[in-house]
Amino acid sequence: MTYLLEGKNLNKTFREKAKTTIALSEVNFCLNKGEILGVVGESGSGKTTLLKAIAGMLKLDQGSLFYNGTEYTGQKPRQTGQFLQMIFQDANSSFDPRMVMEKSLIESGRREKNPERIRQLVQLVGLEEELLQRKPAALSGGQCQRMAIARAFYSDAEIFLCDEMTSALDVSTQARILELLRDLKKEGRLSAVFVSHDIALVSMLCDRIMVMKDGKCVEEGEISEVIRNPSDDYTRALLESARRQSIQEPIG
Amino acid sequence: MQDRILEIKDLQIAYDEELAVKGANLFVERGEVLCIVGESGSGKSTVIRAITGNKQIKIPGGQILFEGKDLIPLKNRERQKLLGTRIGLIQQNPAGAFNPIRKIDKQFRETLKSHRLPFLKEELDKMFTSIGLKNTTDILKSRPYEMSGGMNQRIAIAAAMLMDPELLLCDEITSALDVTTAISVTDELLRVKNEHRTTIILVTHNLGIAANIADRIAIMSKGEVIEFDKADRILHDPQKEYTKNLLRDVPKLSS
Repeated sequence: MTYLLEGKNLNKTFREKAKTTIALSEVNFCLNKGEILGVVGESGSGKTTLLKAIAGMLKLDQGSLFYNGTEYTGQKPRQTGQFLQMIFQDANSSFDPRMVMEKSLIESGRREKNPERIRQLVQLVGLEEELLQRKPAALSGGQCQRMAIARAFYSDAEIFLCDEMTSALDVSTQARILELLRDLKKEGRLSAVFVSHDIALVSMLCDRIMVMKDGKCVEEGEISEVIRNPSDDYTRALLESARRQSIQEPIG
Repeated sequence: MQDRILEIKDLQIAYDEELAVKGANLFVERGEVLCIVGESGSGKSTVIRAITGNKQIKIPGGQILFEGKDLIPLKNRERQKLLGTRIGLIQQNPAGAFNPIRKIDKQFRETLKSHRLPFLKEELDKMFTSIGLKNTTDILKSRPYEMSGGMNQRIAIAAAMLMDPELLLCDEITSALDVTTAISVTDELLRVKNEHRTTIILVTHNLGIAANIADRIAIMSKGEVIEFDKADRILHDPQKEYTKNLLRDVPKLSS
């Protein structure tokens, strides 16, 4: 079977003077079309390195990457950008501060300019068209993140790589973005790798989950199965923290 | 008997001409944890700024009573005396509180010296242990830039506890941390409360964090305290639609 996206035996070590950090150690993953794969772990576990490697933003020491069964290992972001797009934690700084949103979005597309499609996408992510005439500084964190989602769609990329995309937002804004992503997924518009430190958040959105620690994948599986029956101690600790930080009793 | 260590009455706070807080009323009793919860722009951090006497804000009306005495008319000197000794403050970004390349040891000594207090290793050991920090010696030898955000935040709590304040103000101190680390920081705050009987005011946008440690919760929205009560009541029987939404928005494990 061919996966939409696949990584085999990914390895990456950072060497800095006397210090070496193993950021990825024999990591394997796969993503089906229409699926969201959650990647959880603490800071320093290698989650972001994994995304950067997938996007070709850094060079792997070892391993292979495949898109629809075709190997693309070693391609640069300029090439990978045709089928995948990154969405970052700090959406605001991913836009040119001097440009109004409409121009930023138009310039991000590879094909002919299509302002009509931009307006449709901005509506799709739940924003008002007028906001397109604003610069990033005049948008809230949540609005900027929605613009980033619209921009990713405009590029026609098939896969979204989301790096802690809601971590800088407050819980209410985060919940709205989550709703949007779930709706897009239901409509079959979204295939994504969703990186977050919050396993509760991942459980609300993703189909499968990968738990990372110290550059290794310590557990992988269907999200419901991992929550019911975690096999790794670290996963259990993550679940315990998540339970303590959520409100126990359902509110009527 | 009630012992309100801090009480805020009809407090108005303005940036320039605009009111950011429109008549807030709340209090915290000695030894309790009060969480002020709200979205960005709700005015929750502004309340903390008013208590510490931030110069960018104006206070057109109301009172901030610390042990019955209004802080607002205090002169700078008098306020400085309270801050750091009887009222401690920890902010979201612990890196801002420390010199990144100076050993913790040196920085703690300076703090103590500026308050004319001796540096006693045993006392420090005791305090570190009481809030769940191990390896005092290693921590003192390290420099802030070498440590993780979570560890720095826990050391910032230790730094605030050097003076053993009666009231500890914490402004979004867990927001930049991942879930597991945030839990260890709130655990440390609970130890501060239990071991030192310190009163804590924690500002957060995450009601999940509040559920974990609060005795009392104030919900703020658009510059107003819209709901204020014991934590149990707010969490299990919220009256306002806004509070219900905040509760709903906390991520929950779902399978």
